[in-house]
Amino acid sequence: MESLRIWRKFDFWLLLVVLLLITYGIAMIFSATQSTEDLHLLWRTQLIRAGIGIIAMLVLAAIDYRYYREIYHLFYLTAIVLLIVVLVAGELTGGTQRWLAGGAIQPGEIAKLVIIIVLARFFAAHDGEIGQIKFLAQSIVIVALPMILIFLEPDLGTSLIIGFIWLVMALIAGMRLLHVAILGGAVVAASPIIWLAMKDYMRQRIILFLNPTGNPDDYYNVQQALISIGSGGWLGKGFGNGTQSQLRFLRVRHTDFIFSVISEELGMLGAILLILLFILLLWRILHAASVAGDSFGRGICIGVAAVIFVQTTINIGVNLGIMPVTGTPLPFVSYGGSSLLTFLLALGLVESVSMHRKQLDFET
Amino acid sequence: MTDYQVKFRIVIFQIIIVVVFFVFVGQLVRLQILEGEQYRQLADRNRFQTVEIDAPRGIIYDRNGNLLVRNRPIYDVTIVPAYLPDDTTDRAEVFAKLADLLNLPITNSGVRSIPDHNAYFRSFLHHEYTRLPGRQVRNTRSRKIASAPKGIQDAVEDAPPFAPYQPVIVATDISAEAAATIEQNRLNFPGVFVQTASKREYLTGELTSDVLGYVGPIPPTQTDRYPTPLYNPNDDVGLVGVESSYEQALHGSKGEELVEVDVTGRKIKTIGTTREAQPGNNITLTIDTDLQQFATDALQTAIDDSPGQSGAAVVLNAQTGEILAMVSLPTYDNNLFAEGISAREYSLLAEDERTPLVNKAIGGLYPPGSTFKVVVAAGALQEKTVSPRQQFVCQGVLYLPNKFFPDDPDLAQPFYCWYRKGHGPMDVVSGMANSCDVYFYQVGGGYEPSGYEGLGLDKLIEYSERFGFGAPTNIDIPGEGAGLVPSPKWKRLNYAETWVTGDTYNMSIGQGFVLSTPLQVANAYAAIGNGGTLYKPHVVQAVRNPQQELIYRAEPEVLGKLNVDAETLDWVREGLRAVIDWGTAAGKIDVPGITVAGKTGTAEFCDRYPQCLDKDGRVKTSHAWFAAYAPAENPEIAVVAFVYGGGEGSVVAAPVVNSILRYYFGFDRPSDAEANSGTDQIPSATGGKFTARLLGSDQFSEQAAAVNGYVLDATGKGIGGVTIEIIANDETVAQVVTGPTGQFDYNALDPQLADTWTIQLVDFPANPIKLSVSSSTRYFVEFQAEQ
Repeated sequence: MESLRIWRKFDFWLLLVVLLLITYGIAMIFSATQSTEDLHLLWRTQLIRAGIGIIAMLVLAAIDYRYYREIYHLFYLTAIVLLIVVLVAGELTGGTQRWLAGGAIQPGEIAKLVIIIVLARFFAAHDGEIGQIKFLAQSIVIVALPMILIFLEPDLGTSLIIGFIWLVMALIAGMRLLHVAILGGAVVAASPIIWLAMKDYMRQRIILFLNPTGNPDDYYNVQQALISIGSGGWLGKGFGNGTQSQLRFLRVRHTDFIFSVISEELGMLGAILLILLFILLLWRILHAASVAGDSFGRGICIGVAAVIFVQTTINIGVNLGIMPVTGTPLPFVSYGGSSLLTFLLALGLVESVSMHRKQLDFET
Repeated sequence: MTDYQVKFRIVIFQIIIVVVFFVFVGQLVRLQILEGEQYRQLADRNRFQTVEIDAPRGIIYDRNGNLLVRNRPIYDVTIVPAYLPDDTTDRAEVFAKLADLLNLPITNSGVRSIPDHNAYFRSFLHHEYTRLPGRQVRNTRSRKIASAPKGIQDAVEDAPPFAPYQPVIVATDISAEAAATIEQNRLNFPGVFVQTASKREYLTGELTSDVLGYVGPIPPTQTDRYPTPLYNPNDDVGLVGVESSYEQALHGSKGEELVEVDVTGRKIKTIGTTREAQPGNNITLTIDTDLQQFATDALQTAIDDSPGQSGAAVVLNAQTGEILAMVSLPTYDNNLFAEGISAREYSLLAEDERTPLVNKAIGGLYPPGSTFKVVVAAGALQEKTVSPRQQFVCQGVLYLPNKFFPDDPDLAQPFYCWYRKGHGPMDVVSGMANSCDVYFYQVGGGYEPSGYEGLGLDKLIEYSERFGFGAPTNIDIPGEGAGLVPSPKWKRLNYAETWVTGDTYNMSIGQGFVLSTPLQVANAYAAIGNGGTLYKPHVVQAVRNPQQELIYRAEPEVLGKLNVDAETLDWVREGLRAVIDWGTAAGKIDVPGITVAGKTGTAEFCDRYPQCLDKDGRVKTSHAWFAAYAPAENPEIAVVAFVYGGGEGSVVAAPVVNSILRYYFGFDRPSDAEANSGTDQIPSATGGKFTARLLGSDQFSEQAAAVNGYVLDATGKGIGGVTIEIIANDETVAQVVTGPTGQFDYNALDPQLADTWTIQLVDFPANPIKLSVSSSTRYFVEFQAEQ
């Protein structure tokens, strides 16, 4: 009875929004790949993965998130070990490596979830003390280790996303704006050293940001994305009728540039609908944060909101040509099993927080 | 941190989220609404391209409607470097697969540095700029391919830099199977395309190559003659023969259509035609292919059976100047040029001393020998320097006294008659009949000791020119020679010597300096036969546009008049009749019921001194000539046969003319029964097995579909008279019979009637062709007998 009763507090609105986003994504993956012979069944793969992911999310929702508070060390250790393993394996194969076991495990994605839990635990344990530089520094240490490991893979994008998660969580946990300013100053001061430590391609990415014509390949992709979006107009060219996507002028259209496909085929209407869905999603997550039973749960929700927000912003920003090209998928919408699973698990944590909040009222 | 503070910070976060997303909406408004039109244009520029629609070159028929040239559809393989895989290994794999399929080398050079890895990326820099709409270059069929196949990789790397979207031709005229393999495995061949083009195929090959000529790429020196709006630099143009002189008529004008392409440049669909392609006009020749074949065989036999090495024959309509047959042997196969001749093959032809590349009927300059005597006879009679009955005694030799010692017989120069024993008294008719040189020496150049002045050099030159010698006939194919009517001035300029009476003597018998083409001789005899009119010879009878409307018909065009009295001509014609009846060609011409007039010619020449001299120091090598017209009363045709170094005209050339005349007047033809037996012989000749092939298809303007094909024997020669059945839904819709070249076509395949049509030989239904018919498509098929 107990286990059934808690489902009443399950946020069905959140589930509905996510299901809409995923369906939207699968439909657009279908449209974007139907004219490409070896890709045209990817929508089915995505559908299956979504099914698995939603089950995993429900399972995770049922598990009381507070258990993680006790075993967060284990999570953290596992994540660090995996990151080191992937780094070493990458060294061995002589190239960039971001995944293990043939792509099934992406330690970078796992690290995002783990960092959210670990930081939520840390900020909850030091509630009200984050204004002190000592604890802030400790949280920086916690987050810096995985960031550096991921940065060395090298995966600048994920590394920065983790940094952003920390920043949002720390700010809401009570970080002082003065410290933000000091930290910003420190980053600027350290930037020459960071520059030297960077891999060539990372420097190129940054150069490209400052000078978008630098990498012709990226420039071409963004150029075609802008043409796709711009030519979509108010209502778009119709589902499956986008000339840019169907004739394959737009590249990586089912992953990084799926927003362009939406904007081309369904126009501004479709794009704004998507943005509204994201606003709705983030509102539900932040609502869960506001009503969370404890600061650990709240931290988790804020972390999840932060990661979804930052990835959405980066992806759409790239599509719209107002951000540097980083190769970040659009959460829930872009094709890609690992990303989809990560975000569904993250939502599982959020659901767990909202489902298990009332019990807390009775217990304390 | 109080709960309130936290919630406040969450609200701040929510505000930031909304603000950021509002920025996105703002950018969407900018891109989609404010700048939308601009981006729609860019999207259209991506997907629309104007491409040229090929206009098929005009077709050429003989006078009986037999097809002599067709455009065979061919498949070319091109690579667009920009669409090749980025990765060097993947790229090498594409090359390897293609090399394997097309049996081409990947690269010809030994060690080659690996291409700069960044080359592909560099190409992207020019993505926006080099993709010129409307400049999808169709074809750069390199003629070098035939001699040295270029490696695929070499071809791609040798392509002009900074134009990665320009297709590079790596193979031309590949098999339909290979083309299908590439099309079906597109994904395995990124950047590889199959383009259809067409190639000129000369069905009659060597038989008509001297008249038809051939097409080839625009010569670099003549690019000005083929301006770009009308011509693409990769176009083939006529270089020789009718293909060249009627280039303007045959060359169609290209159309242009707007097509939608995908990112790899493949055509997805046609949006519309912005300019219709106008196919070239079709030409009907005056040539009779059967007569041409017969004349060729006769001349070849004469060359083979004589010491002669080469020859020419001309048959023309004596009343209009139409050329019915024009043979030059040895010749060449113009298909070699159409396919792309190798340097080795070309030099073999070009350096052959028998000049196979020269149309000797119009471009060969030879002394006309005794055939020239008609000019002297006509001139002398017209100028009344000799009367028809006036006799000169031939003793076999005429001594021309020395100019400075006229009384010393030892210094006199002997001019021999070909008949050393002497012909005795000769008048103009017997002089011509016997071709008496001594008669013509005197009638032409006079004889001082007897005080006879003869026609004289000036008049001789005048009459030579009136008969058309020394000037081109302006026949409508290029490569004509003017010949030579010598003059004292010409001799002074070329030999630094003065003209002497002996030169006039030699000229009077068509020797010495005078040179003519076989066509000039034929035209002169046609004029004698028809009563004194020189017509401009021509090989094109009519030009029709693709709708079969007549846009040009050749009318007889007068080149000049002989301007001699009818009475004079009658005497000359009587002489020519006498040649056949009892003169030098007695018994050589036998066309029952037809009177023939003609003249033998045996023109001495010496091109290999001193091998050409006999032991007495006389020239023993000679060209054999025979010129004739028939029927003598009102000639239909004039015929000239010439064998270089063949010997006696009456022995070597006269039989050729005899054969041609007999054929023309209906003798020696394979009877209808025999002609039909050709069809009946198919089973025995082939074992009755035919391989059926679908060669390809193209689009055309009719609503219905069409099938166009050939029935060939095992050697690739067309078989006429074969019946082909067109079957839809197990029901025979039509039967068509192949023409003499083995061609058949059927233009009413209605896709509504049946999806699948069967094309089969009525007598050999074992191997039918099944066609899935779609409208406005023309299918090219071929049945070839198995050996």
